[in-house]
This record gives sequence, C-alpha cells and structure tokens, in this order.
Amino acid sequence: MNENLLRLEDLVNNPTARVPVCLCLDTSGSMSSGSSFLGGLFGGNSGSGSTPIDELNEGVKLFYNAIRDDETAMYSAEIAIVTFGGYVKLVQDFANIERQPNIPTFTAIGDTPMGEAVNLALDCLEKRKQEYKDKGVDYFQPWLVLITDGAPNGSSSELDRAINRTVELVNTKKLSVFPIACGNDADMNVLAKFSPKRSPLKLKGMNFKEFFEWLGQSVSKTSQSMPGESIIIDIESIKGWAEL
Amino acid sequence: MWRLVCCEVQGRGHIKTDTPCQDKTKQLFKDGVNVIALADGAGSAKHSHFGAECVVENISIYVADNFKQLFENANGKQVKLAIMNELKRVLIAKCDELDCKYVDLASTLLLVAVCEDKYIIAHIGDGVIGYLDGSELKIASSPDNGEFANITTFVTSNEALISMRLLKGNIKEISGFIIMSDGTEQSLYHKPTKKLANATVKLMQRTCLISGDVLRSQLIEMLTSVISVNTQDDCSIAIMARPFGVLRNLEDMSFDERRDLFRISNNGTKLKRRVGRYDNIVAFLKTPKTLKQISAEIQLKPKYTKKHLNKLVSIGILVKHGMLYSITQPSTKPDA
Repeated sequence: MNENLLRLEDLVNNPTARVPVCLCLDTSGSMSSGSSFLGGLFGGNSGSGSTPIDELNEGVKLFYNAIRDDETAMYSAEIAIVTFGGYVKLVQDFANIERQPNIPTFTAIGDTPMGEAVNLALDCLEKRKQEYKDKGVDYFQPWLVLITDGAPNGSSSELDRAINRTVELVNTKKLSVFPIACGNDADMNVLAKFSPKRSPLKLKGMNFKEFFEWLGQSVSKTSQSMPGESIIIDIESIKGWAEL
Repeated sequence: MWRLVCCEVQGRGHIKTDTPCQDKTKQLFKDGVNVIALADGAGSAKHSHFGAECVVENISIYVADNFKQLFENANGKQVKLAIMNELKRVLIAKCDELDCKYVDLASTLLLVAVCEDKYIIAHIGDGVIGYLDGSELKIASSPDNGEFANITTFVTSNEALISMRLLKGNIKEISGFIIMSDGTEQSLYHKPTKKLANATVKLMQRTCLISGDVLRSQLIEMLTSVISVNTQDDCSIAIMARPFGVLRNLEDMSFDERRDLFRISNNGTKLKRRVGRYDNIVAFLKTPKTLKQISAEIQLKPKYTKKHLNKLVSIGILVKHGMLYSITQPSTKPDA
C-alpha cells in the first residue's frame, strides 16, 4: 500500500513557467549572397558554397533541436519568428516546440524593413504576455533576438518607433535584446540603438550554428532559474565566434 | 489544542550543484503563542541559507514575545516597521558574524502566529499562506512574484516594507493554517485559479491525529518523493491545525478514512474486523496501557498484539513511553 501522505493524483497541475523568445531575422536579398563573407579572414564557412541564408536555416534548425533535446526547455520555451525580407512576415507565432513539428526555412529576397519587423515582434510579445496573464501562466523576461546583415531601409518612422519601444522595455527590465550582426555590411550603429544595455555582437563569418547552440543552452538555463537567482547570460562563451 | 509541524527538503537542483537547502522552517509554542514560520533563501545570495535560518528562528520568538502588543496596535504600518526593524537587527548581527553583505542573507518570510482566539500573519515574497475556514480552503496571502517568474521581494529588499502583507483577526471557525515555499506551491497551489489543493485538508487532518515526529518524517518523505517531481527547487511546508469542524477526532472519521489512516488495504479480507480491532485499541488507549493489558482487551496473543501496536506507532497514531502505549496525546496516568 502506498504509504506516502499524498499521491501524484493529489497534486495540482500548474502550467510550466514560459520563456518567450522571438527571433527577428533578416531574410533580405543580400542574405543569398556569399560576397560579404571572406571565409579566410573570418573563419567559419569558406568555399563550401553555402550562403548566409543557408547557414541561418541550419542555425535555426539546430536551435529547435537543442530546445527539443532539453527536458526543461522543451516545455517552457515558446518561440516566435518574424522575418524581414521585402516585407515583414510572422512566420511563427509564439508556441512551444511540441506545437511546431516543422522547423521553418527561409529564402532571401527584397529589402530590409527592420523597424516594421521589430514592431510586429513587440506586438506579438505583448499579446502573448497578456494571454499568459489571463490564463495565470508564469513567465520569465522575454528575449528578442535581432539578426541582420545590412542596414534597415524600410520606413524611418517605423524604425524610430521600434527603437523607442525596445529601449523603454529594456530600460524597465521587461525585455532582453540580443542584436546580432553578420557580415561586413551590417549597420552596427542602428543595432546598438535597439540595445542600450548590451552591445551588438558581430558574428565571425557565418557562425550561426554556434550562436543558436549557445542560445538554446541559455534558454534552458533561464527556464530552470528560481526566484532570487540572477540569470547570467554568459557572453564570454560566445566571444569565440563573435566580435564585441 | 493547536498541533504544529514543519519541515524542509533540499531540491533536486541544489543536490546537483551541492548547494545547501535554502528553505528553513520553524515551529514554536511559547507563552501560550503558537507560531509557524518559513523562509526561502534567495538563489543568488551567497549565505541565504543562514539568512533564512536567522529569520525564522528570531522572528518566531519576537512575535511570540510581543504578540499582545502587536495585535492590539491598530496602526498596521507601525507593526510592519517593528517587524522589519527586528529582521534588520538580527540580520545585521548575522552579517557581522559571517562578515558578509546584508544582501547575502536575502530570503522571503511567511509567518502565522496564534494566541488564544487571535492570529497574526506576516508575508514577504513568494510562497503561499492558506487556511481552512469552516469547510472551505482559503488563501490568506498569495505569492508576490512581480511580473516575472524568477523575481520576488526579499526581507533585505528596499521594497520589503511596502510589499509586506500583514493580517490579523479572530480565529472563529478557522481550524488550520498551512504555509509553503514556492517549490511546494508548484504542487499544492493552483496558480490560475489561486486555490489550494484539496489534499492540504488531509495534511491538516493528519496534523491533528499523528505524533509530530512521525508526521514530520512522513512530510519529508512526501516532499522528497512526491512534491519534488514537479520542481527542481527546495520544498518546505509548515502546518498548524486543531481538531475542530472538518478536522475531526479519530472516532468521528468515516470507516474509509480510518481504514486509510490505519494503512489497511482496501483489497484485504475481513476489513471491518481489522479496522474494528484498531478502533478498539485506540479507544482503549485514551489512557496509557501496557502490552499485557492491551492484549487482554483485544483478546489477541501478546506477540501478535505487539505487531499491531508497532504498526500504529510507526504510523504515528500511538506513542510508546517505556512500557506504556497511548494515543499521541495521553492525558492521565495508566491504570494499575
């Protein structure tokens, strides 16, 4: 006879605390060209024939698999993807990995409406947070990962609005931003505007895989944190593949 | 009349990292005041296990010593200040002892104190304080997590005074209080509906019936093997209950409740007889008796009687002092 005071059936079912992560990805035309990447200088890809968009696709696939393989992150991470290449698209609204059996892939085309994309990402985030509150689901501070290889050339008013919104959220500790530049043509100044507390990171070559691997591990660490624990995002560990 | 029990267990996460358990609990009966207290040390604070221990040890004594003055003071802000000042005093002394910073001792605080028909409740941070009012489970104070899951207020935070919840009142129909850290809350408090698990009534019931030491072991086992399934965090719990209303004495419980308490399987034979035997033993032991006396009463050889008595002692329904057995609260000397 079970001698425990209580059994598993006596316990309540609480939803897992969520880590909302939004990937805001540049899929503009320049991501299909390998000309910005001089493999010999930067390491990473050289002579393999793959383009930045190919590497980005591989990196996102690796990120999804890393989350799937982690028992805690699998139930807590909620991933949304917004792309900006010619137009802005919500490729995937916030959902956990179980509800995303097919990993999205991207093709490169068009201009770089970065401001519009970040605004859409922030709108989705606010909507998701409200859903969490309505359903009594706990959540951690959301993450916005912004990756670009160029300069924004969408609406300047949308860009300003996106920057102002992001900066306010970061300064009030309601959002963590990871601005990532890839290639020599990325506008580091604009990226820096999105992130008052964290300098933009520049990928060496096309080291998306290493970045997304690190991202998956960081999400896992966050989802296991307990009240009072500072979540230290280990920037040092990504210096090997990025330049600060 | 009030029965108290408390315990804490190290979480799976802390076992892996070899971090001491940062949850601490305390039960105290002093000068007519019953107190249960719980503190959950901050994960990032270097000495938070010492901080949590310092908080529960000292604030329990402070509230017990000053219950009347605190209760009769109509100015809640003054009472909060008094509690905060006491917390600061003892934590600063602990800082000096450990040569550490104040924030290194960060912890939450949950406390319930009852004297006669009055109660005081104080709460800083996360975790839950609930109570059984008549037949209804209610929440006295819910977790304070701010917007994000891993954020809360600690006794060392600047906002501690502002965020402290302080309640007082008359006991009336209240028969039990339960306090739990956020680790335990994950299993026994439903966050979307802000309700306690019904199973907490069973825990309060057992608190009224089972000896403190045995119940404490049972609670530790429960936290370790059942509650910890749902969390990596340390888990702790403290209960204060009295036989009143829904929390009945053994003789007022149903057949199935007694069978469950006596750990008699539903699948066995002669259920009625087996439960009846234990009913007889318990009824006979309202005053302490020897094995020989009990054996004669239930008409069973001593060696078989001893087996049943040992089981009831291990469950916590009986206690054994020397050669005498009795129910957990003996009141008179044994018969000659």
